[in-house]
Amino acid sequence: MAEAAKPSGRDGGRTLLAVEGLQIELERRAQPPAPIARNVSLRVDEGEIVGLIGESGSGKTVTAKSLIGLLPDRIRVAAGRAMYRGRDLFALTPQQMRAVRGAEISLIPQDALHALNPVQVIGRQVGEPVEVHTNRPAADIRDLVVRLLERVRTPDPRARAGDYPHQFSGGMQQRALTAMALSMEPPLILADEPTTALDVTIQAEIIALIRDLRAQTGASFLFISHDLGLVSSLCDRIYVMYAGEIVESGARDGIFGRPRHPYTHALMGAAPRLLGNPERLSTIPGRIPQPSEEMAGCRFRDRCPRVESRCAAPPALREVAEGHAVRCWLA
Amino acid sequence: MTILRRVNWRRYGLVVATLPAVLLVFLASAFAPVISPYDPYALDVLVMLEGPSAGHLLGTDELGRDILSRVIQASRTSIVVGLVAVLIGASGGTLIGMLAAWFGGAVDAVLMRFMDIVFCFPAILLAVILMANLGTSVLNAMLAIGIIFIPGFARLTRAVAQTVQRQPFLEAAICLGVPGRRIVTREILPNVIGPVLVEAAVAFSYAVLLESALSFLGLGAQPPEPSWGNMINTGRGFIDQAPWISLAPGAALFLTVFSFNLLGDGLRDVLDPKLRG
Amino acid sequence: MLRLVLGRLASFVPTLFVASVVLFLAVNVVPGSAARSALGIQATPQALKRFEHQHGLDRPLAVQYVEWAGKALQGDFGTSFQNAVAVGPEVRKRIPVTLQLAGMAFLVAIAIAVPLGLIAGFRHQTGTDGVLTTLATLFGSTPNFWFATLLIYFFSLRLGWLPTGGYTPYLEDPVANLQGMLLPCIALGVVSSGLLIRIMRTAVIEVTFSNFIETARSKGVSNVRLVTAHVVRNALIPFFTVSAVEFGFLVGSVVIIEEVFRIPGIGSLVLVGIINRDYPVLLAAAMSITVIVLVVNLIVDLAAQLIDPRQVQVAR
Repeated sequence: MAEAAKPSGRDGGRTLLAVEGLQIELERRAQPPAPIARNVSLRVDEGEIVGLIGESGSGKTVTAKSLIGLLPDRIRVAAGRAMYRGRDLFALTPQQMRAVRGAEISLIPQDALHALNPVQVIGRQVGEPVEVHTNRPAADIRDLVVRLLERVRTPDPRARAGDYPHQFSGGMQQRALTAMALSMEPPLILADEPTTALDVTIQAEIIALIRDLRAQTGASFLFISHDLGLVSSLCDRIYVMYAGEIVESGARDGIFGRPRHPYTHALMGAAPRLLGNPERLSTIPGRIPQPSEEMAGCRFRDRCPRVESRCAAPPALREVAEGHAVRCWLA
Repeated sequence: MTILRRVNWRRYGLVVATLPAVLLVFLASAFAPVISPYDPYALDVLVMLEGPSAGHLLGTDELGRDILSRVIQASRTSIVVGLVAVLIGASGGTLIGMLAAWFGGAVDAVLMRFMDIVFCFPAILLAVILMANLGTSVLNAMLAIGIIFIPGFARLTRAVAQTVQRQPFLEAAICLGVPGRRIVTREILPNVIGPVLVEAAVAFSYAVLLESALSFLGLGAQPPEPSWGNMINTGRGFIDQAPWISLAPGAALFLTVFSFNLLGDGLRDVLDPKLRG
Repeated sequence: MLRLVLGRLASFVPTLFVASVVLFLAVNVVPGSAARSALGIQATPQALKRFEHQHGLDRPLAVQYVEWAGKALQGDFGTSFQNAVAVGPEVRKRIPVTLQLAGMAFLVAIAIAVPLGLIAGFRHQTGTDGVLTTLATLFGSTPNFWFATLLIYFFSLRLGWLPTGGYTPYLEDPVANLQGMLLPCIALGVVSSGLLIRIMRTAVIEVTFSNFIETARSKGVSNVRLVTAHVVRNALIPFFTVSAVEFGFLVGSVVIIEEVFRIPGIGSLVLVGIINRDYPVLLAAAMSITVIVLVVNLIVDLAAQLIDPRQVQVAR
């Protein structure tokens, strides 16, 4: 364990999760598998909030879910390592992975209403990770659930723990899911677009909540979003994903101060400030290529406003400043 | 909007697999006089209650009649009752369902509420009572079973027709004043046919089952006319000495119902399941 | 909660009314047939007239219905054409027999369908699913009267384990009662489980594709707990609602199974009524079966809503 926990990162935090060369593929009938994530490498340091952003279809959610072994049928990790505290997450047996889920790495899912079991009371669901991973007595867990709901600012937590999901508002449901993810105090929390279904004021509350929770617990977050505006206020470092590839990565100030990739530029232009969050970024013409579409060269080429002849060759991800890497010939 | 475009050809296997069995039943009933080894009504006191042998492949009954020949002959009753009953049920139900969907409002409410209540009755109970009134005969069995099928087809048709009607292009066509008859025949009916066919395959097997049940109770085909149901019933009296009397017609009935149900499953897979109500 | 029950009861009354009208019409659909069947083909026109007048059959159907329904509501189902015995007590004596048979058979069906449906749903689109789905179709395709005949042949005649039929009241001899009920319940239950397996399978598939199942997995929940805590209860909601329809089918089949096993329930009374053309008996027996089906539908409907907290809340 100790050897992987070497000092690294800007703030001197130690590496918690290091994904290297992750290749995720969709298996197809009578055809070679289609890559969904291509050679993805990313790092999350202790106590860090890392943003993973991109349009829907960029592979960001699949990348996150691969870490806890929750890939849908026919989608699998084909290559790569995910070193977490000295262990490769991709090499764990199903039993070992089950012990990791919810206890070491938890997930805050998107679409809060459907992410909650409609016939089970909220309190039971919030306390379930503790119920599953420990032998703590039921009364203890109930008290813990009340404290957790309190911590995510649920009014009247003792009474509301007995409510069913449909009796909660969208924002409250999302808070309950956040409380659930925190229940085992895991070092790493994957937040999969936790604010997408919510309106803007409630989004801001959830973001503030996550920031506070990081300060209180020291947990690391991998925050997945298509919304650059949200990510800019929350994350320490950002990975921009496009069509299964990391196209730009770096510290928040580097990326926002001086975005180098035309796609990041376009995302910033398209970043919705007040008017909801269109899943599709209409200000960038064209659409994201499907995993099955083989393209020679840069995968953003067809939509890029600054395309040149050398873009016909695939660009490598290279460091352009300290801790700031870009996959573009022009950067 | 054609049925063919909705076909998912990869799932065609089940239909193809059940087709031989289905064909066998139809061919056997169509050519019953030709393929029957004996006259199904001919008595032969010398071979009463004989077990299966080279002479009588499935044995003989209490009057020495050849069971195989009677099973083949009885398939005619089953097939005809099934076809006619399904025709009555499908045409009546489709008409009512489309009327309910097209007119909506009170017409829809009254028709469908009534259909729901009839649907609630145990089918066999309704069939038995209708038979008691209409009188016991094969013709009345067709009628009674057909009537019982109407609500099921009506529900299905209404659901499909409503889905089709709600499509924007049709709402537009209705607003633009395209004649209702044209919309019904050109747009709604073609969409209804697929699901109705699937339902018909399942209903057919159920009709065969119901007819046999009625005949088993003595309310359908009357002796000496053979029917799988009354053959099974007769065999019960001799079950200890001659179990084959019940076994053979039951197996024929069971295999017919089973293969038509599988055909229905297959058709359901083939046609887009989302079409179903 | 109370409003939910009251609301269901309110819709139950008109349903019962229409159902009784339908049944009354079904029994009386051919005018004059009652007298002819009761007295035989060679009866004189005068005798037919006298019979009809005596039983009030010469009045308009609407009048007959109102009189019949009014009395039926007080538990008076008239007297048998056959032997002038009151029908009501006979029916009441037979109802528990049929309820026991149908109820136990339904339990058999559920006991088969829930586990097999769960497995098929979980192994969706695998070989196991294919085998179980085919098995469900096989069960559902079995003619119950033939299956019952086979069961009697093997278990009663060949092996001698169980009686070939008949009925012993439970209070008289529980063991004999259950022994007698076993084969009829299997005959009814196995056939009914065919459709129920499919319903359960579909319900499970729908639930397993829900987002909350992934949430549960993300918490490290084991497969067993996933099924017991998250899948089953959600899948049972649609299962219960649809299984009420199958219960109706099962109760209808009682007519045949009671005949095969010589069980003195309502179903065999229907047949007695038909064979003797004894319309008061037929009507009373058929009506009690219908009421049983409607009441069970009502109960199942309420039960399904009670296990679904969303429904309870709406009505609170």
